[in-house]
Order: sequence, then C-alpha cells, then structure tokens
Amino acid sequence: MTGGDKTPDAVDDRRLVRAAQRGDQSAFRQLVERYQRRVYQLALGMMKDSDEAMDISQETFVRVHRYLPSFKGDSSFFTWTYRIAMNLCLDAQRRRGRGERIDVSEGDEAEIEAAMDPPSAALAGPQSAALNAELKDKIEDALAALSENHRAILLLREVDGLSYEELAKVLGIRKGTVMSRLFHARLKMQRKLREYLREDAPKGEDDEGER
Amino acid sequence: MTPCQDVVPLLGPLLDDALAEDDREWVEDHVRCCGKCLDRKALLAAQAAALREALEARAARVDFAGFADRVMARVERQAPAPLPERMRVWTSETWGAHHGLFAAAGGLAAAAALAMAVFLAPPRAPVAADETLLADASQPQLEVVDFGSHDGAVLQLPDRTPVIWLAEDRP
Repeated sequence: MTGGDKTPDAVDDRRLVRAAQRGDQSAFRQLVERYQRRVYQLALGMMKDSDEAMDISQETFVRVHRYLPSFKGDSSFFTWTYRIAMNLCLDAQRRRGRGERIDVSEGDEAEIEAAMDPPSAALAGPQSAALNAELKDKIEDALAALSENHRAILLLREVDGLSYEELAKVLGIRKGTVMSRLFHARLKMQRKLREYLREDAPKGEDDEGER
Repeated sequence: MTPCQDVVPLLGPLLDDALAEDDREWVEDHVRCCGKCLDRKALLAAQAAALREALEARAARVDFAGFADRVMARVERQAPAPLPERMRVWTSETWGAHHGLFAAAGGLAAAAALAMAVFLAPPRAPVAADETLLADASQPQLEVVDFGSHDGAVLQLPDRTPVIWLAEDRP
C-alpha cells in the first residue's frame, strides 16, 4: 500500500469510511483491522517501546473514530490516520522531554561534504547482503538516536513507502522540505550505523572514483 | 562527467523514483560510470531494507487478537467530538490538502488590495518631466505571472518599484 488514491485499497477505504461515517461500526472495525499493524509499526519505530506503541496505536483509532465525521476525504484515509498517529507519537515524546527538533534547512553544504565520504566496505558494496545481519541488529538503535523529525520521515518513507507528496501531507511540510529532510535523515542514519559498527570512514582512501 | 557532489543528494530520490525524467537520466548515467556512487546507492537501499525488515519482524511478532475489540469498546463509550474540535480537524485537513491554493488566493487578494490602495490614493505632486514620458508608469500595474513551479504576481508601483509575490510550491 502506498496510498495512491486510485488503488483498490483506497477505493475500498472510501467505501468503508462513508459507511463508518453513517454509523456502521463493522465498517469502522474493518478499517481498524486493515491498518492496526501498520499504525503499530509506525508507533513502534517512533517510540521503540512496544507497550507505548500499542497504547498509541489504540489511541490513534479512538481519535480517528472521534473525528471521522469531520473527515472529508481531501486526503486519503491512511494519510489522515498516519498524521493522527504521528502527532500522538510526537506529543508523547515531548511529554517525556525527548523531543529534539532540528532545522534541517541548515548545513546543506557541510552535509553534502560529509556524504562524500566513501561508503564503508562493511556497509555497502557487493557483499551488502552479508552486512546485513549486523546492520539489522543495530538499525533500531540508530533509528532511536535520530531526532524525531528524522525518525518520522525515515519510517514513513522506508517502512511505509509513502510518496513525497504523502510525506508532505502527513508531516505538514512542503515537498521541497521532504527531499532535504530525507537526505539528512538518511545520512545521519548512515553515520550512526558507522558509529555502532565502530567503523571510521577510511582515511586517505584513493579518491580515484571521485569526480 | 557530473561531479559526485551534484549526484549524492539525488541518489535517495533516484531510489524513491521521485526524480523528474531528465534528472533521472543524467543521475543514472553518472551512477553507471561511478563505482562509489553505485556503492552509495546500494548502501541507501540496504539501509532502507534493513529498517523495513527489522520493524516488520518486530510488528509481525505482536498478537493483535483483541486489539480491534478494545478499540471498539472504547469508541462505543465515546461521546462525539464537540463542534469546535470537529471544526479544527476539518480545517486542518482542508488546509493540508489545499494550502497551496489558499496561499495563492490569499497572495493574489493581498496584491489586488495593495494595487487598489495605491490606485485610490490621492494624486501625487507633479512629476518631473522625464517621468511624464513613462505613461504607463504613473499607475500601479498588476500582472499575474506563471513562474513555472510557482504561481505569483508582479505589482509595479507608480515609482517603478516592482513588488514580486511568489506562492508556495504548486501541490
């Protein structure tokens, strides 16, 4: 599911949403069952703690139900639901004082310079299939170490496959900001993984490939 | 060949299939010839796959039996949201879906209001002789302009100061 408005899922969502808006509880239940795991997955990525993620998932659907009469269908149902879930995650993190927002529009040049470091042999290349036991162990730690903005956009893109347009809607940012924020988030993730794998970027590596 | 530093920020959008056709062509040309950018692209893909698989695996282990029941039990006890709250949600959704349009309309209205204000202002003192030659510069001019990726308008004030207004990116 990537949320294109013409997909069978989206068409079926609209039918279920209309029925639920008329008070059909079984239609609402179907929507819950359709999206419960995906919403939980998003909350799990944001919160890391599985109990907290479950509470947020449940609260998300309760709020979806509460506000469903106001939902006009300008955005797709799942985009709207994700937005509610994401706001709940961000609220929870701010209550815990863990929120860290970063102005991602700054430092583009420096970030691009950093991205020019050669990819480490352990993280890329033809053997990347093998990377991946160790990488998988560390990836959630790396994700948790990112700022909430970066964590949110990575989860929505890499895990849920939202398009840039959908990301802009869910996160309430402009499409141009999506591209920039995603670039920085991926780069930060890469750096965290290097740290966790205790790898320094190779120094003085032959730069023949750089142009 | 294009420098790597021009290509690196576009590797993610390339993987996401979010590049315009002409950009995609030159980025792909570069990646075909540059081993390091090929590795960088592979790393981005591996990172995304690892994240997806890790979270899907954790979510797959969770038993959702009873989840929908718990939600339904709560919603059945729930009173409808009060009108101000519903209005806030309605406004937020409408703004999220059409904010570009609203911004464009608001900007045009502001530019038109400014033009009217200037147009209706009392006449100024007589202008210098060389200014009288610019017949169309004595009145404010408003022109709606298509800037490609943005809508906008240019307001030419009587003193020949241009005021350029740009709307947000087109949705």
